[in-house]
Amino acid sequence: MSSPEPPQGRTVGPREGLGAGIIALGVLAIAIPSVVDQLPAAQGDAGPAATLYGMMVLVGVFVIVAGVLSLFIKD
Amino acid sequence: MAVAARSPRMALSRIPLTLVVTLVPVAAALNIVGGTISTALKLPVFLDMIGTAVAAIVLGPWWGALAGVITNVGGSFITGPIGIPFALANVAGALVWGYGVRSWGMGRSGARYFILNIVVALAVAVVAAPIVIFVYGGATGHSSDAITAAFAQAGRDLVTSVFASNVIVTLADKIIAGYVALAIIGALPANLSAGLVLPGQQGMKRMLGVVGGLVIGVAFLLVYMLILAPAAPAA
Repeated sequence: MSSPEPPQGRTVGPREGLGAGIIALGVLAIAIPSVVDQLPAAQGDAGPAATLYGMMVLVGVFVIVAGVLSLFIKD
Repeated sequence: MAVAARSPRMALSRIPLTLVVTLVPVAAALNIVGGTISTALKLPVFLDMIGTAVAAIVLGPWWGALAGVITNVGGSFITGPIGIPFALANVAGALVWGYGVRSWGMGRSGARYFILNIVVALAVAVVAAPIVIFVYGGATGHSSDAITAAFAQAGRDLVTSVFASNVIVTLADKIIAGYVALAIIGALPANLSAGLVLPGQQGMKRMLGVVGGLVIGVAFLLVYMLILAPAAPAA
């Protein structure tokens, strides 16, 4: 089986993709605190802090996954 | 000295920047359109990750994640900030779809691809259900809340009801999204999906035509029902 033709022009690989994903997580880390006071849970007794904590934990998990993958990624 | 031929995997790992710049926004737009259609028709599914699947499989998992985040953050300008927390569910789906097909060989057969979509659904549900419970109190205003209510009325507690309804709805939604994405990828120019191992691409163009026809037919029906029928003079 012949290998596909290498793409012409500037190309991107898994490293750039991972970088784009980390940027996306950074955008989320900025966007979520910006809107947290508009979310339903923030209107409750606990206020926005608890909601913000939970969402940032989730974002942090994905950032850690991205960081771990960056140690193994190959172009 | 002979130059070693590029293996398909190496050729697959480098993709043109122009393809990425084009496909990521298109994938996000596809997600937003799918979600809008689902909301307008009050369907108990979301249809907001078809573009994520396409981007993750064709470009890579993290480009799919970028498309997912653009979907939810960009869509917030249309529908409000309610969807932003669910961007993480979109990211989870992109990673599983992307790594599943491109690294784990889950596209080698139809059965493997079906299992991959189930795994995607479970991963998305694991991320989305806690968000629904703790951020939205168990209900987001989506049609799928009716399933949550049914479980709650059957005596289940809130956490169990939300998880159960989320898994059911997400399973249907991700299986639909996965196969629609497969059809879309099959209709793309062959060089864009070169090196990808995906099940049964023969006949996918026909399936895409059928799906496209259905969508257009439903759109015409909606236009008639929402605009033309009310405007028609009474007999």
